[in-house]
Amino acid sequence: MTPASSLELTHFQAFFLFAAVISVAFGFLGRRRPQDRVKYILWSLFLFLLVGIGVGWAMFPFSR
Amino acid sequence: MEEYSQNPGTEGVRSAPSTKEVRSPGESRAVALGIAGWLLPGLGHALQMMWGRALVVFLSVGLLVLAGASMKGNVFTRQGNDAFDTLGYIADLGTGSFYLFARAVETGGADVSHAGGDYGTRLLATAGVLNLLAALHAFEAARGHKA
Repeated sequence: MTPASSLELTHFQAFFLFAAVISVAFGFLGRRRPQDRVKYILWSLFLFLLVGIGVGWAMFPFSR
Repeated sequence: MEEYSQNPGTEGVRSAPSTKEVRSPGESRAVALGIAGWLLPGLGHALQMMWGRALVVFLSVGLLVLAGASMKGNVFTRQGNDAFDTLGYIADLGTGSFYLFARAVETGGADVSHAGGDYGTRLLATAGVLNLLAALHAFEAARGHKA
């Protein structure tokens, strides 16, 4: 296989990729009805982003 | 000398526990489906006709492995230096056959001197743990537990 070109993502893009993929997987594994899945995925994604950005801001004073 | 009754249950003498547990065919099938799900992400669900879950698990684990390896994340090997490397290896092995895919994609080696490589390492570990979770889910579903 030929070497793949290096994928370069920003911090937020990598974080969003992680949050989105995990939310979708959890939604499908944890819920049966499509409506419940959509609700779970959106809520999970929102919480991932909220906590991630919140922790990022909480660490800001110690970053320099 | 104390005498034991022929019927231990009635005299308070406990019978020795059986050393061999007989596994029912359904249980063996569930174990096989769990292992199949580990080896090829989504296969454990696909064999149970759970097509949506199978597709999502396959694509999720595949995307995380592809992204992690493309970002030059660390694909751990058996020759780890410390306990963290061993844990990373176990997590990476969780992706089953996709571990070999990650090794094939990352021919240039890892580069964790930048944040991107470090994120890649985490994405690869996440893919492994997610696949183990999905395999466990397939196992539980095969046992008839509500999933």
